[in-house]
Amino acid sequence: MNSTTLKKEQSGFKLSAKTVKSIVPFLGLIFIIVFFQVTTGGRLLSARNLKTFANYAFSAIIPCCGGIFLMSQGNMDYSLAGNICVSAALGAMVSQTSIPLAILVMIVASLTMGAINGTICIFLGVNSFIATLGASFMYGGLASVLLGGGSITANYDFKNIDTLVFKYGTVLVVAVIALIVFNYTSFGKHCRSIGARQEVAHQAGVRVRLERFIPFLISGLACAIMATFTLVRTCNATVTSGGNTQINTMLGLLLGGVPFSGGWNSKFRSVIIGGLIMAVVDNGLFLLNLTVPTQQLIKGFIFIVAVAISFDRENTAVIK
Amino acid sequence: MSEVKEKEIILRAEGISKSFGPTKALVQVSFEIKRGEVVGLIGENGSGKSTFSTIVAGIQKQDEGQLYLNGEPYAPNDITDAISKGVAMVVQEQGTFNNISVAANIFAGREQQFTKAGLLDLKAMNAAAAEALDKIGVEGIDPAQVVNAMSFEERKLLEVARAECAEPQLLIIDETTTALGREGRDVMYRLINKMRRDNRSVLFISHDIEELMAICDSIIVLRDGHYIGALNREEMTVGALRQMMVGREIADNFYRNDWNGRLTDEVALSARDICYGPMKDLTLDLHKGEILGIGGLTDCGMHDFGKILFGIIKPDYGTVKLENGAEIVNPKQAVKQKMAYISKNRDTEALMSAGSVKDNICLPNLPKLAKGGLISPKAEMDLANRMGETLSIKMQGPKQYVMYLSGGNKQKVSIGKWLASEAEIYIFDCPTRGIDIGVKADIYRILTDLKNQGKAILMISEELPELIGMSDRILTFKDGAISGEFLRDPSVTEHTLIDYMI
Amino acid sequence: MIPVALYLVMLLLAPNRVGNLDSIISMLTLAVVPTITAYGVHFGFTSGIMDFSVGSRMTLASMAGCIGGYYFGPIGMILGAVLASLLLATVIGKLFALLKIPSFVISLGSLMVFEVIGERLNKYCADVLPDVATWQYFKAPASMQFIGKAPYNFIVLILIAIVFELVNTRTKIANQARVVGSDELIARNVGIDPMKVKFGTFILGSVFLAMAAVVSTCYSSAAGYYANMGSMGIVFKPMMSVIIGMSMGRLVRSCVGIFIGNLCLSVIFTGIIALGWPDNLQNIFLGLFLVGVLGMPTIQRYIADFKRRSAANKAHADAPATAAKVQ
Repeated sequence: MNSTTLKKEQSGFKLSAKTVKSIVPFLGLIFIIVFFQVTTGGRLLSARNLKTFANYAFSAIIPCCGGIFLMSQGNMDYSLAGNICVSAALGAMVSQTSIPLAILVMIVASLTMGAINGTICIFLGVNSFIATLGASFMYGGLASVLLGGGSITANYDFKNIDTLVFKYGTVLVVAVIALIVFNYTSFGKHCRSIGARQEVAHQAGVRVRLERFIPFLISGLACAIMATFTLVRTCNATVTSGGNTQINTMLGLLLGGVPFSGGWNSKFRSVIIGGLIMAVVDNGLFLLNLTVPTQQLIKGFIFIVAVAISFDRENTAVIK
Repeated sequence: MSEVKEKEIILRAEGISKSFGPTKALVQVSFEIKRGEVVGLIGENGSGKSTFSTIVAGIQKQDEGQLYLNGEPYAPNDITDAISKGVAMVVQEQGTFNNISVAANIFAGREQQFTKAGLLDLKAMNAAAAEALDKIGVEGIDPAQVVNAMSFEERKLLEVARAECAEPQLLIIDETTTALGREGRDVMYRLINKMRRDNRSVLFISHDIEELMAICDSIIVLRDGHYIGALNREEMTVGALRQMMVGREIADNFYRNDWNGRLTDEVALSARDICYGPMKDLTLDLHKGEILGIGGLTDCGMHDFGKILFGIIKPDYGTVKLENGAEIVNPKQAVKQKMAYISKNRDTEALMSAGSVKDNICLPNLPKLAKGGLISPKAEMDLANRMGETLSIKMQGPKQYVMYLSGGNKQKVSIGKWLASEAEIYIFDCPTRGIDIGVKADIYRILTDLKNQGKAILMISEELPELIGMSDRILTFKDGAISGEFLRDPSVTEHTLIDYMI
Repeated sequence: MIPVALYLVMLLLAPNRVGNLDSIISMLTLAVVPTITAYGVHFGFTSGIMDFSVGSRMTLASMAGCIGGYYFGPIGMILGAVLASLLLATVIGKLFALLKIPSFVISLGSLMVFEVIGERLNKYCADVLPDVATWQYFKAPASMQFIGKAPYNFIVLILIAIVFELVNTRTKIANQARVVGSDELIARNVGIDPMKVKFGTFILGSVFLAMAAVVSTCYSSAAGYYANMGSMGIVFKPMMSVIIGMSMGRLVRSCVGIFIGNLCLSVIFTGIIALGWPDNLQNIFLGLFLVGVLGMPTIQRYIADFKRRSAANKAHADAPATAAKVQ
């Protein structure tokens, strides 16, 4: 029948376009590494930089592990920085008493904030970007109340864990767990189904409300890990502890190849590739001594370009 | 000496054809509409009425054939183009905008005519709106008021005013009167008569045979996309029209070979006192080994009813219970209780178009496939391949995205995911909509097999032959209530059913 | 009614600091700039656009205004701000129409770029035009600084409000923005091009944003730049006041509704300060409010569903149905 053969041709063509799209992020990573290696005169891949790079890799990959679940559903978390700040502040305060307790406090705090995000987005029906944006204002305000305009120093014992083994080890463990959950569990597949077409998932028996809520908790957990990391690295909690985490995470996943609206094209390798790309970019920009504003400028461009390339215009009736 | 003026032809359609994938919506439709004539267009669901009217109104284009307006070739690019050439349409669905005034609604998109030096002359626009409403005989509506609080009927009348404003030569009214009350219909009839007097034409689409016979000069009948014939005033009778609408050959083995009824009297699922939308206290039982057909017009509530049975929609009142006493309140539970639901909206509710065949088939079955919480890709592929074979799904492989499959194969994937779950109770909504004959036969065979295995099947359908051919028992819905029950019997025909649905 | 009610609440809590004329005037004054900004945001918002670049664009407009004001006096300030604002709006509008990606993505990316441009511009002008700018901010031309003080700022607000009302009700773009915002698909069917309309809202809104920038600069006699995406917060109060104004639609004209919305917010925030609560609590309340205002429709829907179900339950309890025939 004519229509079937035509469809075969179409799908053949589309198949290769799909494969091309999936190689692009990987090529991008290679390109970025080469680019920065050259422009920094070889400093990027030097042994001395390996220690610094560990920090960037950690800060990039861990939040992306949390963010992939959200993004595969078409949601995002813009409150990462605020979440980390509050958590770190609380953790620093409690750490003077006991470090394990501090870690527990940070986990509880971050999960609570994640739950708040989820409630606003899922139960109040607010768009995830605005919901988490509003939440980030709340957390930011809370953080500045806690920090009282200054910083809180944490227990110096934290420095004992500041080793490469800890950093790379944690990244490995977290990434592997996230990979297994995302690719091989019902929940992981449900996330992508919800992103592909929410109503279909609903009619197939997925508890959509609950499973849209949980990724916010996962993101919160990632924030707890990041907060611990901040204290380990600097033994200090300040208003900038959260840094640019949310933009970096969004950008990382997008550049890694996750479509803006999620769905089945969200692959876990985007976490690693995208995370590494952002880590290299941040590290490289730092080595090149570019100011923070310049970095922001570059990221602004990249953001628009990344979405412009990957946005699924066919399946969206109305673009707001 | 009296002069009999041969009325000129205002619209001529020649060989209009349009297909959507394998579905032929219109096949070589040709007819004429004369100036000053009110022509009715009637046919069942799927006969092509709306497709034809949307092509004439400029909303979509035909695949083959030509339209002529006043003798000139006519191929509008969009609605505005059609309006400028004198063809306007009032659609079936909601077509007004919230949060703005009556006048703004009537002149939406055409504000230019009231603009002086960049500023809108609101007074003039309101006055023009009042005039427009007056022309169609509607009173008591303030042009400056916001439409939000107005009833559906009043808002529909605004759309009529909007269409009439442009003084169209041909006004197409698509199933609008079904939603209007007494006064609204009177407005429409007055307008239609006025147009006739002004020597302008109306193409009037409706399900209501009596209504059409009362106002139309002639009625055209479409069936399965074909032009069947036209009856003028003298020839019109209800019987003749019905005969033209539904008279068709039904192949013998297409549906089922047997005249048996349901296998058992054991109740699989019971719905009690369901209240939602138009439905009030709807009560019925679905038995094991039974195909229960539900038929009615599009808005009778049966589609929502199917969703309520599966827990997708929560009714305002009423319960859905299974034989083991479990009450169905959400889809997750329904799936657990071995129920299945296949939506009529294949691409937006039943299948993830941007997803592979494998992912679609495995979706409700993931808990079953999981060992120790983890799902092996091999298990998924095996399941997908097994379903692909059982149902003969034509695809490049389980990894192919569903959007590239034909309608029939998509439906097979949709059914496949529930066959894999070994459900006991199936709710099908329009199971063969938009599917070609070959696959239709396959699906009917599947339904028959399921019934003979003792499964309970509820089949909601807008296709009368399908209901008659496949059901052990048919319930007709009308205005949210069950209007009739028919057991499987050779004497049940489409004529019988239509009476209870309209 | 609501701001008055809020005021009374504040009055009860801290009578000393709040219950005097100065306080009232300060609350009114605080509401002026967000109101004008809201006028600028209103058109895009109505048609469904989420634009976070407003703050960064206003900053650049302020800077252009200061430069213009320095050379050409008051007219120069206004012209400078308006021209800069129009230019930026054209860039963003074109980007949106061309790329066809969600508005908030474009606005986010743009604000990142504009913020940096603002910072660079500031540093550059500090070197080149030391009379106009210092390293931290631009100086507002002295001739215009009176606008920042009562009663002039209110006069300006009233004038701008009148213009806004005119534009909002009488221009084709504003009307079509409402149509597009109500139902974009039907709008296409009646022949409206949503992209053109949305582009128009950017342009139209930018004029009001320029005015807001001018007034804001005169308030503080300086125009500073934002860093680290801090400019995103600028759009929140206006966005909320637009929503509040919309919900009051039947009672008052939009221009007044928006002002009332801002008044509510400023009463609350002034109240926070008056009660001696720390400044940073403001942000917490801002976030809470944003969420509350945006979550309102969903809450209303829950209530409507609940009412419908209760009514059905009651109907059945009152009139026990004759056992419906089971079929």
